[in-house]
Amino acid sequence: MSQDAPHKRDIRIEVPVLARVEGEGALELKARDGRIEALRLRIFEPPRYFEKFLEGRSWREVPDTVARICGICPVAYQMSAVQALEQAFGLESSEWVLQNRRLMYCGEWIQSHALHVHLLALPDFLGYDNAIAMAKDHPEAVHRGLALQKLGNDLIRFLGGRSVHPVGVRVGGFHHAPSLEDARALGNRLEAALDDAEALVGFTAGLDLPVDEQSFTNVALRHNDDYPMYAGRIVSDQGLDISADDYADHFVESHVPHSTALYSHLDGQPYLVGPLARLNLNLDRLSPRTRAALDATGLTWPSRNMFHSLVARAVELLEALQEARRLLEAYAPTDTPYAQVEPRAGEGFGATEAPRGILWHHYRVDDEGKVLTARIVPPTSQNQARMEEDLRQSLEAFGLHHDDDALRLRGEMVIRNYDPCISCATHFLKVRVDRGEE
Amino acid sequence: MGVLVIGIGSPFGEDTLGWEAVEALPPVSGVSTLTLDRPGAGLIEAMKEQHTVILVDAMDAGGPPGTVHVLSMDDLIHPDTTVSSHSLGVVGALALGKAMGVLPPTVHIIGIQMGSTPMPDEIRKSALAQIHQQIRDWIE
Repeated sequence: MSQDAPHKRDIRIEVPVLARVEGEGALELKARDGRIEALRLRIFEPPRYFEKFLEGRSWREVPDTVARICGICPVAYQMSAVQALEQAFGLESSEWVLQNRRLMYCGEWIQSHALHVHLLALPDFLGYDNAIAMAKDHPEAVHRGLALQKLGNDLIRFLGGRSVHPVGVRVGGFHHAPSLEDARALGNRLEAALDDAEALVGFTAGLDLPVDEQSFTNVALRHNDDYPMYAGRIVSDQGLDISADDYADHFVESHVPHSTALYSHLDGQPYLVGPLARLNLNLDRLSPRTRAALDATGLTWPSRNMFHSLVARAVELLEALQEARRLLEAYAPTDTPYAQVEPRAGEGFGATEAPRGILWHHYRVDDEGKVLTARIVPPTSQNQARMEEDLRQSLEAFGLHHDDDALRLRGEMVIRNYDPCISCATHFLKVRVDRGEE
Repeated sequence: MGVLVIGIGSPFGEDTLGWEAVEALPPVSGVSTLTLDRPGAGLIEAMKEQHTVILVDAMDAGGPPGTVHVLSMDDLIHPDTTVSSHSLGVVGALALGKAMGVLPPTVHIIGIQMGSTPMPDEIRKSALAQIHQQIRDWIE
C-alpha cells in the first residue's frame, strides 16, 4: 500500500473473477496521482462461433440453434432470428403469432429481471456478499424473486414447451397453440402476482442506491403503441431513428486485444442499451398502473443514474406482468399457429429487446432457405464500451482514495448494473488494480 | 408429507441418467417421483413440503462411468458456494434453499458418474440397480 496522500496514491486493482455476472471476465485498473490511467474490462470467454455454425444450416434449424446461445434469454435469440428470416422470405406474421411472440417474450423479461433484481443485484444494496448470505436475513426477498422467476419460466413453457432453450418457436409462428384452459390458469397466477411486482418498484426505489449522474446516449427500440419488446424502430436520445435494416450503417463493431467480445459504437461513441435506456426512451409507452408506480417513487425520469437500472428492471417486470395478463385474457387457441414458409433467396434483419437490450440479427439465405451468412450482435457487446466508460467515471466519482476492496466492490456493482451476459457476448469478472507501487 | 425422488437432468447425452434412474424405479407405496429439466431455483419449490427428498443426478465426481456416489448436503455445499445469473445449478439451489430454511428435514443425493460417451448397457443397468437398492435402503 502506498504511503502517499490518499488522493495521490498509485493504484493497481485486479478483479480476476467477477461474481454474480454470467460468464468469465476481469477488470484491470491502473491509477496514478488520483487519475485513472488505464481501465480494461477483459472478456476472455472463448469465442463461440455460433454465426459460423449457422452457415449451411436450414432455416428450420435456426430458432433452436440460436436458443442455445443463452440459457437466460433464449427467447430473445429466437425472436430476432424468426423476425429476420421471415423478412428474408417475405412472410407476414399473423396477428395471433405477433401477440403470442410478445406474450412469450414477457415471460423472459419477468424471469430474467426477477432473478437479477433479487439474487444478483440486491445483495449489493443490502450489504451481503451474495444471495445465499442474504437469504438467511431476507428470505422474503428471495421468495418473491423465486416466485416471480418461476412465473416467467412457466410463461415461456406455455408457448415454448420448456423454459430452458424452448422448442415451441418456428419460422412462421409456433409449433402448437396452447389450450384456453392453460391460458386462463396462467392468467390467474399473473393477476395474483401483480401486487408483489408493484411493491417491488417502490422497494427498489427505496434502497440506498448510489447517486452517480453520467452523460450517455440511450438506445432502444420504440414502437408506435407498445412498450418495446418484439418490434419497433431503433432510436436514440440523440436523434437516431432507423429500421433494423439500417443498423450496420450506424453501429460499428470492432475487436480489441483484451476481449473476445466485440466492442460496439454508435457513430464512433459508446452507448447504452437495456432497461434504463429502454425506460428513458419509452416512458410514454408505459401502462397507467406502471406509470403510477414509477411516479410514486419520486425519482426523476429520464434518469442518468446507472444505478437506477435496478428500478428500471422492476418497472419493466411490472409492465411485462400486466402485458402478459392482458394478452392471456385475449388469448384464443387456433388451428393455424404458424404460416407455411416458402423459402427464397434473400436477406433479412431482426431487432428485438432482449432483457439486457437490443439484440440484432442479420441473415443471408439461398433459395432453399439455407443460411449463407449470419451476424448476431447481442446487448452485452453493445454495452461493453459503455461499461468501461461508466467504470472510469464511477470510480473517479466514488473516489480513488478508497481502499482496494471498496474500489473492487464499487467496480463490480457498476458492472452488475448492466446484468452482463458474457457467454452471449462471447463470458465474466476478475478485478486487477495497479496503483503503480513498487 | 412423504418421500419424493427427483431425477434431475436434460435431454442431452448422459445428462439423462438421473431421469432414467427415476423413471425405472419400481413403484413403492408412499414414494412419489418427479423428473426435472435443469430446474435451477425451481428445485427449491419442487422440494417444498416434503419430509424426505432423494435427488438423483448425473455428475462428474470421479471414478469410471457408472460409479454411484452417495452424497450429503454437506458434501456438496461449500462456504464459497454462490449463484450466478445463468447457472444456478443443483448445488446453488440447495445452498439457497438451506439459507432460506425451506429444505426438507432429510435430503439424500445420489450422483451417477457420467462419461463423455454413452456407457455400455451392462454398466448402465448395474448403476441403475445400485441406485434403486440405495433408495429402498433409505425408505425401509
